[in-house]
Amino acid sequence: MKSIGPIAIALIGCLIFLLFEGFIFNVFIGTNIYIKTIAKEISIIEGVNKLENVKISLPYTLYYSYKTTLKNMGYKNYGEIDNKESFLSNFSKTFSLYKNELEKKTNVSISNYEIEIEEDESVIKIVLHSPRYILYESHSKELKFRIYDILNTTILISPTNNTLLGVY
Amino acid sequence: MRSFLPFTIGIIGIIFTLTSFFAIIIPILAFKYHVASTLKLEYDYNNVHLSLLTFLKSYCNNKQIYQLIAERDTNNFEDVREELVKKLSLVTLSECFQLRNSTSVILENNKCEMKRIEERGNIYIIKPEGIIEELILVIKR
Repeated sequence: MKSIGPIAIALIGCLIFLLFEGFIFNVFIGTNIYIKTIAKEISIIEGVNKLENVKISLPYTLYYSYKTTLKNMGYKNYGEIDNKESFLSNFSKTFSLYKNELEKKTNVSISNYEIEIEEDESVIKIVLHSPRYILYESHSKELKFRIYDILNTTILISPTNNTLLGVY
Repeated sequence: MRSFLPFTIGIIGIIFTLTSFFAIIIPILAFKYHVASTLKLEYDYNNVHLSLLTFLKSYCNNKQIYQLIAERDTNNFEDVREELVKKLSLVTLSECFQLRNSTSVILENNKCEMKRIEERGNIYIIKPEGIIEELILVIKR
């Protein structure tokens, strides 16, 4: 009995440590699930914010493309333009350049869009819409997801002084 | 000597268990602290990003603030500067902030003491020349 006593005490000591360790691990595994959930939520919010960044920038990308195209083609306002098709073509090229820069910075891709310019006596309406969507894609190895949003933007410009009248 | 053997085994067992316990637990604790800090930073970043979005979407003098900031080199930006600082203060719920790009300060409120906790967020805007500019909002709490 004398020789068994210390071994039993040592074994009980080891067992208590192992139990304690098991308990700690159990807590860690539990909290790890919460951390993963929070990380996912944060990444998704980040993606949504980036999409919003692009959505708020698109009307101004259209507007500045319009003004740059007018300037490059030597016109003061839309009424002076003889060849509207040529203007639309140049405008689309400028917009594409600006849009590409925005895409590079935000990792949001905009594809298969259409641009229409409608003229009225009091207003010029530029509509950008897409049968598809704008897309944010997470490149993380741990977390892969895609967020889509509808692309539909309209701006109203004054035909006389080219000021921006409205953003929708 | 024989009577010391069980003690030796017991002590070695305890040392082994303790070592393996701390060898596993300490790195996990350090990792968890690192993960928690990163998550906190990202959460704060998203919040400041959202504040910046709200600010740019709102209006001042019948113009969207996005346009006022983007065209600040050409329009009368100085006339609206004070109003914009007030609006940004409302959006951020802070009296201590700075809105800047990569080279200079655009808007700031200096009515504050130096504070330790700093939150940052950035957003990209397009300028009339087609250049994409990064706006950085720093809030001190």
